[in-house]
Amino acid sequence: MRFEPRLPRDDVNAPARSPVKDGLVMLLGLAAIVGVFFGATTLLIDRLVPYVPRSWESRMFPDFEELVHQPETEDERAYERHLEDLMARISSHWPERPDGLHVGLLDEELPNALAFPGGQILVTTGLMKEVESENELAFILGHELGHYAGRDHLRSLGRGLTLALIMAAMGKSGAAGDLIGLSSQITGRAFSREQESRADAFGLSLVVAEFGHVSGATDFFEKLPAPKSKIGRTLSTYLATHPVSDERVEAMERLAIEKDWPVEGRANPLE
Amino acid sequence: MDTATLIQLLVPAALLVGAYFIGSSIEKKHYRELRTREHASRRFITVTFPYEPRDEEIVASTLVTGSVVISVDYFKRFLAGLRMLVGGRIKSYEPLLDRARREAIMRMKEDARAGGYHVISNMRLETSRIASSSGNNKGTAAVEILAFGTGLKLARRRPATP
Repeated sequence: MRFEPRLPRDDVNAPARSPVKDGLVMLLGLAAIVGVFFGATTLLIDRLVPYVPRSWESRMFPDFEELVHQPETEDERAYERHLEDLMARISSHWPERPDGLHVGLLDEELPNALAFPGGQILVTTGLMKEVESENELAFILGHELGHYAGRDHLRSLGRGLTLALIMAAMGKSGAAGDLIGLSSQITGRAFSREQESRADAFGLSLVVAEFGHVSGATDFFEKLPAPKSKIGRTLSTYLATHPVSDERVEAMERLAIEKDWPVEGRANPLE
Repeated sequence: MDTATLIQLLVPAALLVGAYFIGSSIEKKHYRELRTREHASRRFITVTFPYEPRDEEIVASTLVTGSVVISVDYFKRFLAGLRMLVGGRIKSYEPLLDRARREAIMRMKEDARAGGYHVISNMRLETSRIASSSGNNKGTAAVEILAFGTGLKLARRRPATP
């Protein structure tokens, strides 16, 4: 038997083609599939949410009772009474308001307000220190009421479940799966920003119904730090869960003009 | 700005681009080098069955080995991760393993030649997974390719004694 010297061929066991194109096709294809799935689920959830009774809602979420800060000083007690009173006044302009709306304080330095499923709104003690007028506070409460009006807790929960499903499906595939999961998370924030904008519009309409004008309502946004650089701005626009502050203010100014709401007016100072 | 998200996005992107360019340049260089070495040693008899010389006799034998340990880069792993979702040939791993096998065979031949052996008989290839710890696809995965065979020294058959 003769030994035939032969060189290994380069194209049999290893493809000659660059894997980049292959990878791009897979990545874009998967992104499209995930995108369609995500969009379809979100639409479906938005359709179903109005049929879920409000009484079921609070049972779907973990308990938050221990978060409520019991007022300690006389200042805090007065503030809480004021909050309850303001809340009763502005929510009276919302005929379909659910039962069991409450507002309380949360011991936290960051100025923020939160709406918990079931009707409990909490305003942080940090926000209490920042807010100067009743109109400003009424808008913040109105915004939180807007989340109830939009059934945003259920929508967010549905979106969270969809994201968890996508993440689980991508789970074993390493960095590629992480990237697709992360992209859907960022896409999800667009929906979150839309919810916030709608809550803003709802809050502003309550403020107008109560005070007759929009003046002073958006003062709170001027107090939030704005991103400085242009690239920082563009990025934070896409990555944020809430719209950028000055864009929110602009959107509300446009809304006020569109609805012909009076812009001039006196804001009631808070004692 | 959400810096954490930004980092989560930019770091993999930078790693991908970096790994792709470094990885393909190393791969091209290795293939060039392999072709030269393979060409130079193509007449070195290497067979997978017991070699039986015709006009010569076997005067010595030994075990010759060549081994390579390889791991994947970030880019190749990324593509393989996508493949795990959709199925099919993992094209990003194929050149890597092809290079490893050919390199292992070359090392075995060099081992045999350095020892003064003329032929490699009964050559085999073995692959073993040597490290993939965490099981969540994030541990460092490495593979060893071992080429081994029996190196034979041949000598002219002496004429039969009268």
